Amino acid sequence: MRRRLLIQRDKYGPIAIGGVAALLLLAGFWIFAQGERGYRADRSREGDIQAQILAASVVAAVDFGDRIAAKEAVDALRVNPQLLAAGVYDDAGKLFAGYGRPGHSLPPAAAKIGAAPRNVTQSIMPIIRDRERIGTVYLSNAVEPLSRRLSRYAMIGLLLFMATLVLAVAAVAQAALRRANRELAQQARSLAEANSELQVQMDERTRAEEQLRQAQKMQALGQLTGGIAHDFNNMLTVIQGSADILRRPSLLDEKRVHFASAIAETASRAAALTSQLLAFARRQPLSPVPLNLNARISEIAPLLAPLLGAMIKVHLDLADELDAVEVDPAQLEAAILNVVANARDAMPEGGEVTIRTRNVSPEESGGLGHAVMLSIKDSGTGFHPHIMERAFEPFFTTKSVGKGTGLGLSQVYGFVTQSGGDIRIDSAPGKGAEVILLLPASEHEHSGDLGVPKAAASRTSGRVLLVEDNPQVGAFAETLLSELGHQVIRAMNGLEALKLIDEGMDYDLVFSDVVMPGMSGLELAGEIKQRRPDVPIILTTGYSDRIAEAGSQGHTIIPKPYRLETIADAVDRALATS
Amino acid sequence: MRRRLSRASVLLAAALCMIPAPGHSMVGQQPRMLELAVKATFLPKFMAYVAWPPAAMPAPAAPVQLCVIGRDPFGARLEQAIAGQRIEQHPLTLRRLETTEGANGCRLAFVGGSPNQSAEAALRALQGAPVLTVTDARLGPARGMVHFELSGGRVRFHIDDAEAASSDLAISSRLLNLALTVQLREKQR
Repeated sequence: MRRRLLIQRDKYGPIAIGGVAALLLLAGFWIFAQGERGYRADRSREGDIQAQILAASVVAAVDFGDRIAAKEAVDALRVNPQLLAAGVYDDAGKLFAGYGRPGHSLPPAAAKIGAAPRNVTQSIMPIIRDRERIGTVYLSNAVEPLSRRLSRYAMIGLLLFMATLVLAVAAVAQAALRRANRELAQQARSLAEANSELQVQMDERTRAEEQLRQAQKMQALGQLTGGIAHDFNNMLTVIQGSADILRRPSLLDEKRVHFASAIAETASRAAALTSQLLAFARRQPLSPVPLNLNARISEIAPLLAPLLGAMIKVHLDLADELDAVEVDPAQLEAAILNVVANARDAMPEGGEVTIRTRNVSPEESGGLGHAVMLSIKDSGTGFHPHIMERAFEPFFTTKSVGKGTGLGLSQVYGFVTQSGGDIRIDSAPGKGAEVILLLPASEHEHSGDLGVPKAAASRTSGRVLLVEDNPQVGAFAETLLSELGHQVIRAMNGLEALKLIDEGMDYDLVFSDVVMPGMSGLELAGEIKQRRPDVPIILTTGYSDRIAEAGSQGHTIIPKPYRLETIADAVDRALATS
Repeated sequence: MRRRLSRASVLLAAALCMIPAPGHSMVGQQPRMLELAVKATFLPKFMAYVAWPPAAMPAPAAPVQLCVIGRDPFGARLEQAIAGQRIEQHPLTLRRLETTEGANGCRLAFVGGSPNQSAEAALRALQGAPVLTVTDARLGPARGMVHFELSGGRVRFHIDDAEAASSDLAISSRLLNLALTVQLREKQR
């Protein structure tokens, strides 16, 4: 309401000021006109009085025809400079006495007195003696010139002008202010509109980004699950089919071995795939051991030829006296294979892969201290910069569906960073690509051989406490251990195992799952350590948060899926050390 | 009235115009006639500039007397001059008297003197009475309140305001302004 009033006052302000100015001007003109009229009337009245005085003073002179006396009376008026002409006429209207200033002649007879010219007032008075008119007096008075009168009004005029000017300035100022206010309000309005528009756009953008992220996640998940399902289905087909054939009664030994091998091989590939998944998530349980890269690469190199095919040559450039590194050998192998596989895909026409190692000083390693570099360089198509940016993103792939999971370089990245190292790609389109892994140098000397598990040299047998909640896996493990010649005591969970131990059950080794309801394998291991610190404990798991985060805590860990040889070896070692 | 006034004015104008310049023959008959006519015209006019004591004035409609005492040089010219003239509301009548005997009603008296009563005697007789006395230098040295004299070829007059005052008459200053000389009354001396 107040604002509304303000606006209205705003709106009518200049009009009001204009009105006041006009009123002032009108008042000024009115005063001027009044003054003029009053002045003329005053002059006229003055003239009449002078004429009356003259008429009275020349009565006797006219009466007695005394021109000299009349002339004297008329001449007495000469001192008045405004009096232009004065005349005394007798009763016949003839000029009796009088004078006229230069340029102002007297009418020769009373009858000849005409209308007053401009700037002159005329006064005509009868000369009366005893109520008888005996003559006429004529006076012609100058009205002050307009310029002189105007100069008298100048002060009023000036004041009026100043007042009007002030009002005009005020009106102009107010108009300008009003305009400025309007523009400001307009600007504020458009600013607010722009702001809300911006807000809406920001909200929309946030929503769109959220949707995009969600879509990307879903796409990635789709890609991953699609890839996994595809690969697993293929492998399951082989396993299923092989198992079906093995169930046939009249199967030759030769064929039985073949299909069993096919199952084992396919299961290994499936295990490798799940291991890759865990690697990209950096959740794999690492078992870092000091090793020499040169030795590992030399071992792996022969495996690369079938992977790369005849068109691609492998060139090794291995440094002498290379420092040891402390990494998980299986993950290292997977990382090298992943990078080499990428190199192969980048060189469909063939080319060369160079695997290089050398020591890196702390100055060059970028905060890693002493490090060892492993570089795998190809002569392929190279990376576009925008692809390079995303190369390590999980599920990002330039390959078609089924050809790659988008997890290769992610595994490499996960492995290297989890091992405390760093990874770089040096590439340009058409110039090939070089993937450089920097791994911190280890203080420890590398062990001579930590390769593929081998069958235990001397088979021993003992009493094994098997703890496994899954009935199938439990039955399978019991079969395996029994096959190996061990005596197996089954427990379905940690509590049951502890109960058996506390009841005085005798055992030489504990073989336990990690992820179980109630008490986990790690907790169980802790409890058993308190009771029997000497008893070896082997833990096995498909995947465990606790172990991925906290490590094995000194226990032997066997990842699922495990093979007969793996279990035999681990159990033999454990029994041998106890 | 207008006609009469007109006629009087014409006469006066004619008289004034015809008064010859000094040195010119004033002895001829014609100028003398004019001089008399002017003087005759003046006589009733004087009465317009004189205020008498209220007691001396008659009742409103009653006439006021203009008298010629003794010699009368004007003759019929005076009748002509007086004709139709009024003093305020009063008509004017002309009386010719031999002496001041019976001059009680006169308010203006031209004193010419006569063998029976000299001008001086007549003036003495009228002394103190509310009568404006007029004399003429041509007729002798005796001087009334108004005394005609020819000056510069024009008919002029002296006024003895002191004498008028002693008779309780008030003569208008306008008339005094026209006089050749004025004998001022006591207060103004």
